[in-house]
Amino acid sequence: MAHIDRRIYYAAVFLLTALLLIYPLGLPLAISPEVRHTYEMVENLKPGDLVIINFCLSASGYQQLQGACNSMIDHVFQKEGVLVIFTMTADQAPIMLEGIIANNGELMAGYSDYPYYEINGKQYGVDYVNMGYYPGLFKWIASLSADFRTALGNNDWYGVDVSEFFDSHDINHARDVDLVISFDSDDGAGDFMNYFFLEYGTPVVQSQIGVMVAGAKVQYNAGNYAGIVPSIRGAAEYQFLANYPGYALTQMDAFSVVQFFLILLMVLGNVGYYGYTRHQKEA
Amino acid sequence: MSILRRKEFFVVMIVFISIFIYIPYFFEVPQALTNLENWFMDTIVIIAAFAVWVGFITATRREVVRIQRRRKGWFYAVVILVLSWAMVVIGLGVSKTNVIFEFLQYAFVLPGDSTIYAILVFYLTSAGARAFRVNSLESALLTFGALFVLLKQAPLGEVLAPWAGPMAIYLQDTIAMAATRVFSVSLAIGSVVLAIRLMLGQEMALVGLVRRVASREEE
Repeated sequence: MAHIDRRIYYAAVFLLTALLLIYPLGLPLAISPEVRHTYEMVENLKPGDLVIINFCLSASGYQQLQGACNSMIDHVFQKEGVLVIFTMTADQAPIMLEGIIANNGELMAGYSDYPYYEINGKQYGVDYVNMGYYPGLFKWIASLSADFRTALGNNDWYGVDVSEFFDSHDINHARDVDLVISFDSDDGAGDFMNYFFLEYGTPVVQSQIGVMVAGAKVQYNAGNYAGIVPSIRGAAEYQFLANYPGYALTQMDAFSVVQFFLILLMVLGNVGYYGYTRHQKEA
Repeated sequence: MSILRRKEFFVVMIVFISIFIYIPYFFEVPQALTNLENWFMDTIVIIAAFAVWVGFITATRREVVRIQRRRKGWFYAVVILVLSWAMVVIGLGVSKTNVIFEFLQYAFVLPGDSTIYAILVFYLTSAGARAFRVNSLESALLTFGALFVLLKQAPLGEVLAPWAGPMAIYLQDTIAMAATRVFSVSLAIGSVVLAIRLMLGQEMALVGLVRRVASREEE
C-alpha cells in the first residue's frame, strides 16, 4: 500500500464525496445531548430576551458551520419578541452573514438592499441590528461587556444610525444580554465566556469547527459554555431538531462514507505494514 | 538615550496599564476606573488596527523584492500584490459594502480560503493509509482511539458499530478532557507567569527591546 500513488486516494475521496452529495442515502442520525440542550435553550427564549449572535468565523470554517449558522439563526428569529444584535470578530464574516440573512429573509417593503431584510417577521432596526466587524477580538469583547454604546458606536455596519434600537430597549451592558451565540473558527465564544459569562453570568453557546471541539467540550462539561453545536455533525443534528433541512444534513452521508473509507485505509495500511515487516524479517 | 526607549519606561507603562485592567475585572470599582479600563481597551484595539497596516506594508515590500529579483514563483507575488492592493483601494475608496469589494470577497477570498482548508481531507485519507502504523504501544493507543472516535462520529458508524459510541465518549470525556485540561491549566499559569515577568521587566523581547541574537554564521 505504501507504493500506491496518493492521487488514487484523492480521486477516491473526491468520487465518494461527489456521488453521495448527488445521491444521498438518508442514513439515520442520532442526536447528541449537548446539541439537544442547545436547541432547548434557544427554544426557551422568551419575548423581550436579547441575543448576541457573533461571528468569529473565517471562510475556511464556514463550510463546516454554514448549516449551524442558517438553522440556529432561523430558530432564534422564529422566537417571538426576541431581540438580536449581530456582531463580528473576524474580518471575513460580514459577507457570510449577508448571505445567511438573504437566505433566511426577504427585503423589507420599500427597500432594495442591505441591511433592510425581514427575517421571520423581524424587522431590521426594530427587532435586530447588524453592527458588523470590530477588530481587537478579546479586547473589544471586554470593552463591549462593560459599555455597549462606547464599544459599538451609534452606526451599524452600513453606516445607518441604530442608536434608537439601543435606547428604546435600554441596552447598555453585558447584564442586559440573555444569550450569546458565537459561530467560531477562532475562539470568539471563549472571549465572551471570559467577559460575559464569568463576569456577568450571561450564558454563552458556541458552534465551532472540528479542530476546536475537544477544547469546547471541556468548557461545556465544566459549565462554562451553556451549549455547544460541534462542527458539521452538530450542525446536522441542529438542522434535524429545528426541522431545517439543509447543507449539513445532506453532507452527513458523504461525511459518514468518507470517514469509513478513512477507517478502511487505516486497517488496510496496517495489514500491509504487518506483511511488509514480516517479509523484511524473513528476508 | 531617549526616555521613551528605556526599559524602565516600558515596565512602568506595563505595570500602570495592567493595574487598571486587572483590578476592574476582579473587583467592583468606581465607574471612573471602569471608564479608564474601557479607554485602555479601545486604545489597544486602535493600536492593533495600525499593526495590521504594518504587516500589510511589510508583506508588500517582501513581494516587491521577490518580483524585482525574479525569484521562484514571482508571478504569484504579482497576484498577491494586485489582489491585496485592489481590496485596500476599493475598500477605502468606495466602502466595505460596495458591490465590487463584496464581489472580490465572494470571488477570491471565500472560495480560496475554503478550498485550502478542504484540501486537508485528501491529506487525511492519505495519512490514514500511511501514517497510522501500529508499531508501538503508543501508536496502537492512538490508532485505536482514532478508530473509536471515527466510528462514533460518523452517523453510519453509530448504526454499524453501536459499541464504539460509549468507548469514544469515554475517551473524549475522560482521557481527552484530562489532557485538554492540562493544556488549559498550563496555558493559564503560563499567562500569569508571563504577565508577572513582563511587569518585572524580564520579558522585554515582547515589547521589542531585545536585540536580535546574531547567528553563528553571521558572526
